[in-house]
Amino acid sequence: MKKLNLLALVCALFIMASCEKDEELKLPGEVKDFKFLEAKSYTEWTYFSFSKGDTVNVTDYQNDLSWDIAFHRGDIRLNGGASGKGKGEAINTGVIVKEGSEADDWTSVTEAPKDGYSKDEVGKVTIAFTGANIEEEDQPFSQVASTWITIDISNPPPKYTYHHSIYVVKAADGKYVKLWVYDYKNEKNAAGYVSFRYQYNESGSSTFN
Amino acid sequence: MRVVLMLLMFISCFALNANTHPIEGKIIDCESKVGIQYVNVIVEGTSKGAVSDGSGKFIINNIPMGNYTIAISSIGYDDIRVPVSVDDERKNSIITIPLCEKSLELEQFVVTGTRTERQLKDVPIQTQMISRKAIERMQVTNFKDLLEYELPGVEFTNNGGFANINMMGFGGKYVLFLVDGERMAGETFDNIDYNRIDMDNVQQVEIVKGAASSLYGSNAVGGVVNLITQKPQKSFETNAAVRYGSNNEQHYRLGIGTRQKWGYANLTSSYKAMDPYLLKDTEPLTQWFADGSKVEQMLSQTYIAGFTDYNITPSVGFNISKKFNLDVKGGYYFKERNSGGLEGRKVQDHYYNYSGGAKATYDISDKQSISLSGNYDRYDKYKYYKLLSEDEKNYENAQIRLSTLYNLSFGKNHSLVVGAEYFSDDLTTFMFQSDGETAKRTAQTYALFTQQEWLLSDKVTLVSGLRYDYHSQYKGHLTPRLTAMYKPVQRVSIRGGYSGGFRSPTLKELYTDWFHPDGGGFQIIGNKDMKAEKSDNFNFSTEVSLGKTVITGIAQYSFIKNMVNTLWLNQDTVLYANIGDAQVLSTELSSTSQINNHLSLKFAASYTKDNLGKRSIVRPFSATARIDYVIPVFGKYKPTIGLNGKYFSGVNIYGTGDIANISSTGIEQEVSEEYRVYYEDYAIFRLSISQILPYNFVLNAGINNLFNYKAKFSSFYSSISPGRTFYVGLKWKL
Repeated sequence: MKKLNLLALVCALFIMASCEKDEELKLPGEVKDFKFLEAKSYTEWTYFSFSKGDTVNVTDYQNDLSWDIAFHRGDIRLNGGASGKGKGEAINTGVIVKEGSEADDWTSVTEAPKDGYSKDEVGKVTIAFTGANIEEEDQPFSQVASTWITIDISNPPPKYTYHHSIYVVKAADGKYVKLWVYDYKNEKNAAGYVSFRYQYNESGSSTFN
Repeated sequence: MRVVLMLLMFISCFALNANTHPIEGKIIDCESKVGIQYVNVIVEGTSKGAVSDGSGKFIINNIPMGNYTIAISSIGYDDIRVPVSVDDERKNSIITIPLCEKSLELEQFVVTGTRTERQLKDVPIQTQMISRKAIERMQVTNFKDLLEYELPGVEFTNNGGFANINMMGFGGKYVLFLVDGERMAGETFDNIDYNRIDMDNVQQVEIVKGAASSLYGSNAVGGVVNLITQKPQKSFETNAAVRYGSNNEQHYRLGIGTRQKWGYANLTSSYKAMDPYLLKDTEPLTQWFADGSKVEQMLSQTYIAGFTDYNITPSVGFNISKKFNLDVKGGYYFKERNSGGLEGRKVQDHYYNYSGGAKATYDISDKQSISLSGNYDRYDKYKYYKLLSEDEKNYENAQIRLSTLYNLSFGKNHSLVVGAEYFSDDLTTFMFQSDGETAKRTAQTYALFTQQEWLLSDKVTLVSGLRYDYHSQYKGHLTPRLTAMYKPVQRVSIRGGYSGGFRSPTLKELYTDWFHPDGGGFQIIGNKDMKAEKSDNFNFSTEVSLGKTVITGIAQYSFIKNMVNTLWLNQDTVLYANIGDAQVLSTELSSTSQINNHLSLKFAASYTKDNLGKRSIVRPFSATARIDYVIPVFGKYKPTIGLNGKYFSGVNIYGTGDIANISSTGIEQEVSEEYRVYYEDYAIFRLSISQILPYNFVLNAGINNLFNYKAKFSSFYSSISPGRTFYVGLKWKL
């Protein structure tokens, strides 16, 4: 009886230890905010690495795995599909962050969806805006993640509407990232500066809490 | 000796008695025919008089035979003069004199139309007035609400988050706002900062619609709105008010004043605040194209800015002698504007206003006076970057006005105003950037003007005016006026005539050279070669006073030449230019009734039409109505209930793209219709209650937008009301 008990205890300890070890391997990443990323250029994209937590210089974006996400005005590009060689893709979780309940809404997305992700495709991107005229060009971007903002230029001044959706995107290495892009203006409210909250699960975990 | 003297006196008395008769009469209400008590009756040219008794009868004894005029006056009634013959034939006749109740507002004095005090009923230039009583009944804490609810044809819309007035077809740059006759510095999209006006410090608002540049110079094209501030009337007076409402609306006020033999002193202060609020579209803004197709815009959300402001206004006046008065006034105002949402938390607008002025008035005789005044008004704008804790000044407008005014009335029939003015306008703004961050642009105006009133007969008054303005940029300009007032019968006034208006291009319109960063960015360029806008205004009005009801009809026609607007020169440049002419026709009908001591009614409607076709932005028809009822309960603690409403007709606004090319001959312009957006008609009502309490307290409460109207989508010409809101306030006065 005693032996059995001891065995059980040892077993239990072993299981617990292995569990703990497993958890350690798959911990969700840290929640970070990156504020006022300069993306005001119409011609150049600004590339960002979730693992570095900062912008990176990229010359040949379609063959470079050092970047995960890129910004161009209100457009977003992920390192995958038509945009790159990485595993980048995105899904809109349908959760919307509302004013006053930001923290709760953010944490309400606990798990990365298993499927339904979309990869970047080629579409129309504005490459010049002078006076009342815009000039567009075919470029690859994330049709899902770029829906975070609507820019209405029908009447000056342009009207920016943020939809405050929470996306789950995959980094170039295929790891899950929870993403909320919430601002298009800098400290002085100049447009073309993107602020976003992200949680990069470096561990590869699909859970965020 | 003594006996002889007594006898002589007796004889003379008897003799006198033989040649005198009493004047006997009865004074009745012209409508109810009931006798009126306590009416003063004076025989002009004598020291004799009487007061009517309970049945309206009076008797004045011992009037020597002859022809006289008796003057009859009673509080609340029109003064009248009646010719009376005293002779043997009529010695025992009793004359019946009907008196009509006066409509109070017509008795008030106004200054705007003539720059001298005139009773509203006698002012030869059509003037509308919002009295202190009306302001109090409206329970408004901001000037915009007062104008919008009190005047049909006035609408405030939202231009990029800033209030934008339209008054009978005229925008902010065509309406001249004055405080005690002085201009206000600073504008945002051609509108003054309406928050600057502390409604509790306003005695009355005077509105002269139509052009008045012959008296006021530039900007008086669509009308002049002159706010007359309060002055203390008692040896000691103080007042305090608090108010709290929806959207965290707060209003606090404290005032203290004294009037003494030597003059007066007054200090008022106020604090107002409101949080920004969000308007959410419930239906899409729909663009209808000529071929019948439509494009629906996405539903959007629009923040209406909140504010926090405070205001301190000291003033002091000295009666240096019986003839010589000196008034000195100062002012400080600060406003923080929060545009709402995330942006409002990062960047706020700070506005500062500093003002000061002095005015000396000398009454040379009872027929002539001269005044000299100097006024300084400065308005600064800053961007305050909250996250960076730094601010950046981007606007400074300083205005100095020096003026002298001479009033003379000679004979019984002629009065004259002559004035000279110096006005300087300095503007520093980021929009003059190409000359460096601190580029300052200035303009000076020198003006001479005169206005004369000729009483051609009892019934006809003629007003002629002429003003010459010399502007440092576009040189000389002459503005005439010729209007007349005709009173065919006592209760009817017909006014009409011609008045000229003009507007100098603003410093921004002359000198802007700025790269607008929105969208792809474009250059906005001012134009120094522009001419002043000029207007010819023809107006006609009829006022009928029916004792308790006053009905007024006004028709105005304005022809504006050389209107200034922006033109797209090419795809990245916008230029200010004189783009053409416009015509505006407006009519207005209003009726004000004081039914009895408890009930008053007001109704007004206006119709405005311009010839701008698809560029027109005016809601053509609007109406206002107001009912105030003093509930006859609780003795002297009577509550008053007020209901007022405003209706605006719907309007189609066309989106047009007008692109012009400069040819060797000048500017050519093309206008092309793109689409129209229909802005629906709407009505907004408000209900207010005022309850008099013991110890000089008054409780106010109300519901704005009673039926909770919300625009279906927010854009330039939609209502910015947040829907139904509530407030409650307490006032105290000693």
